[in-house]
Amino acid sequence: MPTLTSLSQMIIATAFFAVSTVTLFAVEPDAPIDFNRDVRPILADACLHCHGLDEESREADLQLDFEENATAERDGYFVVKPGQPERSELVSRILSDDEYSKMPPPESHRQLTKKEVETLKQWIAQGAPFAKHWSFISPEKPEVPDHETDWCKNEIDSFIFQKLNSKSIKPQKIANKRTLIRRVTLDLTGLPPTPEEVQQFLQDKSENAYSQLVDRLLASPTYGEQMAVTWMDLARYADSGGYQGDIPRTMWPWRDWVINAYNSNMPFDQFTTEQLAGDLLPNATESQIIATGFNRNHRVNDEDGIIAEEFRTEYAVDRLETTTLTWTGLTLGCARCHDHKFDPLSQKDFYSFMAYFNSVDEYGRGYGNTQPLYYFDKETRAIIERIDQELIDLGDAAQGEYQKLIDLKKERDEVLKDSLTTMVMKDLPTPRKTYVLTRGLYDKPGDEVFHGVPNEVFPLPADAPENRLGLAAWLLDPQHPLTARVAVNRYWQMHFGTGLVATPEDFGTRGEAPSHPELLDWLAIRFIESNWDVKAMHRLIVMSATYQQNSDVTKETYLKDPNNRLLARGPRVRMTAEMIRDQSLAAAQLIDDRIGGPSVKPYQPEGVWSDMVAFFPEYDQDHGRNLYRRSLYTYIRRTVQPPAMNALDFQSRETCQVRRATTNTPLQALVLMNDPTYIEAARVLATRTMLKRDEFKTDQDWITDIYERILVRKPTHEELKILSSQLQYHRNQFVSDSNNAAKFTKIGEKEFKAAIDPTEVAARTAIVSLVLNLDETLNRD
Amino acid sequence: MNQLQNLTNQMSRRHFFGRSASGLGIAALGSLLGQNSAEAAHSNNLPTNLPMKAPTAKRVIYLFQSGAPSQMDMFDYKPEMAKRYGEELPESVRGNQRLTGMTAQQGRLCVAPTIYNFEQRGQSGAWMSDLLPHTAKITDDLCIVKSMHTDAINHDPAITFLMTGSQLPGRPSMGSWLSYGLGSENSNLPAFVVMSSKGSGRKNGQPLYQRLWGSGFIPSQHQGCSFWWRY
Repeated sequence: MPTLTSLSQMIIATAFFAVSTVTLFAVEPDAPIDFNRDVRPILADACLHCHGLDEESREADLQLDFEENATAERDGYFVVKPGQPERSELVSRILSDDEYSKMPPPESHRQLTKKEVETLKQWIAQGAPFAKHWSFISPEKPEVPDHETDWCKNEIDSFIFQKLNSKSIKPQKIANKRTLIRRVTLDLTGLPPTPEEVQQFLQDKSENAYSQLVDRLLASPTYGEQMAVTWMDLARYADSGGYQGDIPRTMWPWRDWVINAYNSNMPFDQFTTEQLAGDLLPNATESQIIATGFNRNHRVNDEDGIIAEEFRTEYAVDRLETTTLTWTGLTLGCARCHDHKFDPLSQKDFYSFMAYFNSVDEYGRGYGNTQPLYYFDKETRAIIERIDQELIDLGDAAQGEYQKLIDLKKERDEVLKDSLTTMVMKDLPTPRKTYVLTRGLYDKPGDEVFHGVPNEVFPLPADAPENRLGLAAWLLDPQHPLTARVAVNRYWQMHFGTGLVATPEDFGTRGEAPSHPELLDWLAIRFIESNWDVKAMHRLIVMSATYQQNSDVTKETYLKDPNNRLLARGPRVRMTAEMIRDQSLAAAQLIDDRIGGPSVKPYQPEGVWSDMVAFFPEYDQDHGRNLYRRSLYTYIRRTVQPPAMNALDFQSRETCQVRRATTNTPLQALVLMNDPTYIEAARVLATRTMLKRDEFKTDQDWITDIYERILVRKPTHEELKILSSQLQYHRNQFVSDSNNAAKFTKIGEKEFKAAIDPTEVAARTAIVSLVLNLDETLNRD
Repeated sequence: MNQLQNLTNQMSRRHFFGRSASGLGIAALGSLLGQNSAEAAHSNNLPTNLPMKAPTAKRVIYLFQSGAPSQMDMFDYKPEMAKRYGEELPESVRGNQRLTGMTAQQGRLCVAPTIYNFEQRGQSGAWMSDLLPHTAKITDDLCIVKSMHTDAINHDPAITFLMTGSQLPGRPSMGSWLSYGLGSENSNLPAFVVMSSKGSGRKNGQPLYQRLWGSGFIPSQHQGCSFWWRY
């Protein structure tokens, strides 16, 4: 369990990083000022709020990040006079002591530091060069740096090594084989390697043992499951509608589409087009239509009293926010009520973009799976469409006809119990008109707008159709400055914990600049040139020496780079809620390897649903194999997420999420020590190994086997000593309290026919549980 | 209350609301830097715009009465409504207010006063209805705020707004901000706990969602931990 000391150390380490980045990423004193690297962050943080793009809040008609405006002559003076700081009003204002002329104004919370003032002066002295924000400029393929070192295994390493070299930091050696197989197996499949797989890899002394391992993992169907989890976070996938009733829905056919797409290595451009606009493709197949469920995974309001049009607007907004964040890392959502304060995204851009999502043939109030639907049984189509029309007609006149509403919903539930549907995109024959909405309000339409994209970021290709296919074509244009960068950054983040751009939620001017800009661009272009080959990109990353390094760190290097942004060591990452549970199930050989299908309901404390939700309040816990499905199949009820996952930083899936927080809390240890899932896994592993007792002469042998299965290594002498005495302690405890032993060994539904002494099972279960709780178990090194 | 005390309170209040952005940040620094915020507050390096008076509150208990009776039936005395019983809602009140899907179809929007008897209670003379006989006895110990209002007209957005300050999900809840800003003296227990009532079993009885005590965009260590009913 983390103590406060360790927590505050972590936080201090973070604080230290903020200081140390200055030395890691800043310019040398006499180096030329770079607008994007040095000036824009100051302007964005301290000035653009009042002197930026947003006309509503712009003061003195000054837009500091826009060259023409900032350098224009104004009644005989200049705000910025390139080359002449002494004639630039900006400089005299930031140096002023006068409370009326000083900038930023004295009452502003944000004041400039001496260093920032100096940077701005230098920038003007050097001719005040302006530049577009880095992420809005199309990447160009950089030269791969050449080094005389045998550390580098591929191009990635050349870029990483170059930066390390310039800081006189040495990278780490390749990690040992046990660490490597655990790391790469967990990363690519979300599961730990089996003892047999470990043995095979250790015995394979050939040069390409690791490369063959990677190929085997990429070909495993569990790869698609692991990749799908991240995509489900982006797509805000859940098994219920959210809002008041949080009515169950069946969107799992879309989830299975994602798993299959990853497993068949569908190129990212096709993956994109089918999810955004599969329904608009000529002769769209069943699979292409199901793919469009991506943009139907948003919440849907079922409450009878709502104004339907208000929520229909919310769904279109949600699609816009999710699509822009997922593919471009832009915070276009900020421009709903006003022009973006920092990025070149106007309110008009927002609504032009929304036009792509505004013509769905839908109604704002919806119950369960809402129209438009894909019907797996064609014959139920007419019935459901009739009920849905009656629900709409009745809805607004709900008062007095409440019973009829309830009856209709009941009838609908009955039909859909045996007849599968899934929500998909389908546009109206005549598009809805789209307007700029004043302050973002559905009932305050302003000027009409038409399909469009933020031109400042990247213009629409000339031949792009005026529908979602055109939007996909825009995103996938090889010159698009964001799509490929955002995608490869996400893959990087999956393997290193942090992206090359550490703020995947914002690639705009307020986001963090990439730690290795050339590498990011090189990867982005490589990705496009490979015809968007996703498996090849993951392969490239995990084959690099950078990825394969061991995670040891010297004190000196740690102090220079506590967050490992320079990658002088291997990544050590806390596993996700899904990985932690799946690891325990896999180690106990409980895990069910069936892929796809309806979501399942594993153990959950009693009453969690029934206290919270009024509709469908009974959590019908599954039994048998369904208890041990992989965690990505766990039923996600939006307003009451599974508490055990929640404790481990799983979020609500109410909106698009590009990264999960990693926290350490006492609750996590309580879950892992008490949740039936983990006690059962510990008991099953203890029992299975005990049944093969002839293999183990001593307790030490048994503990070693448990270590090999969970941590993929042998215990140290010291660890053996502690755990052996702990095992003896538990034996004594349970022998003296056999009732407790009997109770402890009855947790979880998995039963064994063989007659084994419950006190011995209990004692060994306690040891396995302890190992499952080790910090080393919960992190992938 | 003497004048000095009054002034001190006003100062604290103004400082808290006027500077809450930096104020909370500084308080947060307390929880980040030291084992307890008192220790941090004694440090010499902290800025000077802290409240004039060290906060004396040690813990916050927040009761949220999901689905309670209307304030108009309990403590918000509106005699004018009784006089205008049955009249059409005047334009000065109706204004541009949005109507819910439930009321939009009504033929008329008329004034409907409470049916309960109101009386002034205690020394303060606060109005309270007969529905609250026990509460009425402690009127002088209560502070009743009648100026709260919301734009949201449906359950989910309205409650989300009350608990997180935004109708849309994604913001930290009140408890999360307190945990973030004030920290905790205990590192081995959850940031704060939530107890939800069992509910009457009626549909729509109590619309509750985990996000009401979720941590939104701040780290999940600041989320509340819910206790559940055991039968």
